[in-house]
Amino acid sequence: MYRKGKWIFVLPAFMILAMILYPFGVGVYYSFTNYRLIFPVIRFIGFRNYIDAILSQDFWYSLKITVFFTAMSLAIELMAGIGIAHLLSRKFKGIGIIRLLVFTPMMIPPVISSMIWKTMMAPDGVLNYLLSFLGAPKIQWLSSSDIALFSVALINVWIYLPFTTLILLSGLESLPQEPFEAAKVDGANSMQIFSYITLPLLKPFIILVILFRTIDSMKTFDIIFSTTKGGPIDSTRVLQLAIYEEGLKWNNMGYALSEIMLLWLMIYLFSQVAFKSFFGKGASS
Amino acid sequence: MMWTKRLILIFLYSIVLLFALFPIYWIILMSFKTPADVISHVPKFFFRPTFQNYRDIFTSTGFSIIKNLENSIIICSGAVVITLLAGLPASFALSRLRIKHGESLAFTILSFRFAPELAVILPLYVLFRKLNLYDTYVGLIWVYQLVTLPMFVWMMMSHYIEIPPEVEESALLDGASWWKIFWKIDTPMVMGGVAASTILSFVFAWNNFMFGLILSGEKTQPATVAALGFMSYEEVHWGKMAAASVLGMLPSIVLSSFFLRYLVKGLTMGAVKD
Amino acid sequence: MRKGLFIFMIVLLLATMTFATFNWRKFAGQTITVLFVKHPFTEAILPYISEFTQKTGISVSFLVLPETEYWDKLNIDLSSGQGSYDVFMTGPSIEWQHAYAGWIEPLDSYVKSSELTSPDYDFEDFYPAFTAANRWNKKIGGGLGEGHLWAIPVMVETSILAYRKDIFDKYGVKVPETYEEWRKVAAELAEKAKSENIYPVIQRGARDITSIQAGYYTAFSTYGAKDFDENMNCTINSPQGVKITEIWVDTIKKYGPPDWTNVTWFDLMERFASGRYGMVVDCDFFAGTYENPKKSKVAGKVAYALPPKGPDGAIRSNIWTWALSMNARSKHKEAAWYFIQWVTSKEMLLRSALYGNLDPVRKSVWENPKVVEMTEKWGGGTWRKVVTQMLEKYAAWRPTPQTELIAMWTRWIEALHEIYEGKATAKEALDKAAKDIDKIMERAGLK
Repeated sequence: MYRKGKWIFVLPAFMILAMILYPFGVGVYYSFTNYRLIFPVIRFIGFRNYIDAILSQDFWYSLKITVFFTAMSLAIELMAGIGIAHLLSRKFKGIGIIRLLVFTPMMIPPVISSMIWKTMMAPDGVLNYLLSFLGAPKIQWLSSSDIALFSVALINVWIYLPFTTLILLSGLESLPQEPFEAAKVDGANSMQIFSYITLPLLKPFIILVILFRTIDSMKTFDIIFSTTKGGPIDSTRVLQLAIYEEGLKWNNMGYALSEIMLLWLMIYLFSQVAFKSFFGKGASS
Repeated sequence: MMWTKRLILIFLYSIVLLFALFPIYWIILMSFKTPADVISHVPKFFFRPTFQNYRDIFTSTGFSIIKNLENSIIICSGAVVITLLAGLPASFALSRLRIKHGESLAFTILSFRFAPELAVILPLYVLFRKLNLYDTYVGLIWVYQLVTLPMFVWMMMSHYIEIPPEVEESALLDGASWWKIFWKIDTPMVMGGVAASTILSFVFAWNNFMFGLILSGEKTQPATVAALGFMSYEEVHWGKMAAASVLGMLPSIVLSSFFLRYLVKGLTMGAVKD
Repeated sequence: MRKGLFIFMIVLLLATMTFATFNWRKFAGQTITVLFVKHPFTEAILPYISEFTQKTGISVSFLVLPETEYWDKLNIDLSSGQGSYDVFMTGPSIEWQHAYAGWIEPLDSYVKSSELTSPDYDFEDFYPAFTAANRWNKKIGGGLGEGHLWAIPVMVETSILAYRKDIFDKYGVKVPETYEEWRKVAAELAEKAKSENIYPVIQRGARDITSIQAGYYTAFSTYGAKDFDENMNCTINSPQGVKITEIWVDTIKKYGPPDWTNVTWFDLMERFASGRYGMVVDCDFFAGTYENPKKSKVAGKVAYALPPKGPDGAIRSNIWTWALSMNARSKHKEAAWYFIQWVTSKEMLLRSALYGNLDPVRKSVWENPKVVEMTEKWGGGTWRKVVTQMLEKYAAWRPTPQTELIAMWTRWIEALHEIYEGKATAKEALDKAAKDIDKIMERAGLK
């Protein structure tokens, strides 16, 4: 009797999401065709697009900088996120307003905050202006092909650190109290408590952050498009930007979709790993 | 000892706040600047503020920020409500009930988030036109589920999974149904998670750009798409764009300040002990 | 007396009836949908749309989007074959794609039809160079200005030299007339005008096709270089191409802002207006901003000149022109044409020019006393003089017709970045780019 009932819990969510299967299926089909937006005759060409993509240097180059961008952003976000979540989990008067303020960067659409970051990162922009008081030389934040990728990663971190922090904070707040009390009774110091109790208990939330921030960083588009448009040269041409250019700007939709599907597949495989560890924890508890 | 610790803490809070708030502060300043002050080559911190930008975004022709904000609020609230209704039971079931193939189901839900919007946008556009969903609230609320629902389900799963199984076992022995356990016992324990996930779902929906751009028209255009309209061809109206963004933050701030209250310890623990 | 007035009125009425035979209300009751780019033209037109509806009985619904988002939305709609927008804004290189795909309606027959076009429309009033930019016979590699008319222009921009007359005069610097002089003048400014704290030059350079289209393309074609030969082999690496590219990038690198690879068209305009730059070869209509004291710190300090000449003494400025196309899948083509016709009429284009939609594409608008009055003082009178020559003689759409322009120009700007960053010489970078562009053409089946 229960078994039957269980499905009802999941059904609505599935029905809502399943409607996307048709457009997605069409997208998969297009990726096996020579579909060009401005060329109306669509022909099935098998794995041709996929082979072209895998053999092209551009694809691997874009993938490489996308992975680099993602790893860099994720590492900073995760470390800073745990620290900030910890700070915000302290209880004192006024913590409510501090929490709210820390979350505000999320509330401006990335398309727009990135544009404003671009003005701030101009050679005569406010960042270099403020740094000049510290005696720092002018930094070519976005206009040097050696630095631009770091700068866009910094913007990425600024926008999404609140996301990481909020998830980890909600995790911290929901941890059971007993292990902490027991540890205190045993005389553990705060460092020991953090590494032996907090971190392991926080694991599902950390995995959640890794999962979502990896997925979203691999798909980054707005931030790059509003700042460097992939330049200087092609130093910030992340995969999603390359796909956008191929598909919508250069009209090679079939090819672009094959790149999308490859990206999809990679995220899929990565998520499987993260996912296993998520449920691994769930099963043991 | 005590005061050094306090000093370090104050320092840390200041760093965090400075990093988070400086760009926001800059945007707010920008919204009160004249065009000449915005492009000034020495960045201006002190200037005579103007309210012209705010006045302009309320009065310029062919554009109504109120209408766009209203659209965004309708679409995003609608999307979040649907997500809550469909997502809460789903995440509960996937993490608490031993459903056959539950893991692969959960993963499938997550995988809807993998594909870039570009993968589906073309066929989706045709579908929307054919089904007359184009430029309707219903259509947008539905398609925004792709943004909010998988994320929400997954965030809630990690909260439900933390609940000790003993809580349910005793309730089951008392003859409670799964619905009752879901609604009366487990969900009150994860209210902090619900709060965080709701805020994030709303904000992500609000920030979404591609779906709003391609699938909305003159009637339902969201504020995010509209705010970019200040990038005109002859100039970028930085001041007005900043003003529109500042106004656009308000709904998220109101929502967050309401929900952040639930993000405190004790609420959940109280439920366990009952 | 009274009788006289009566007769006069009858005569007037008859006169109106004879001349006003054109029936504007033939398609009353229809509704058309228009997609606009956020642009002064659009802003100027929107308040008058109710007038059009009153005059014709045709209702208009419309959507306005910023440029980048506009192209995405338009492309998706056109390729999906929905025909949702009867009329939309476009430009020459985009028309090539759209005409090739069969998405847009040739407009010649509409212009010529006395049934559908009011006798006072006066198509001959358009400057020939800009209607030619919107004509193409659908042959890759040529046929520009021949064949069908795909759109009616509503504005044009040409590339001219804007410079800080106050600084040039103060230090006795001459206005450059060739690109070699341009480089020398930049060096002179750097040396003599050090105390002014300016960068001598600024140009667009962001990784975006607009960075190729304006100042750079003007220099490139003025120098006698071409994008393709007659067999569609890419020739941007021809000796002239390499030479001018070398001058261009080298000058910008030495005498321009350090973040050139990030400078978009609006950065360029805002920054020149902020008063920290000596000279710029770019859009003429930016003068509207430069000369406006509310938006600019250089109002009254700028003068304008023709862009530098090539080795053969010629000037070949590139242009951009916004134009209106009709969707080939439109279900209300005649009503759509009525709208295009009304919007591009003398009266409406004059109104839009006075609002700031410059440069006009109609001679009558450019020479209209109100437009003259608005622009004659800019740059101490230099602006109007220069732009008149540009419109009548020097400006045209230069690129070779093909459908892969965006991919090609994106690769091209990457090559300029490589030179700028010292990763390759002009020759090496352009050779490599030309090879890649040939591949792009092959892949699209154009070669």
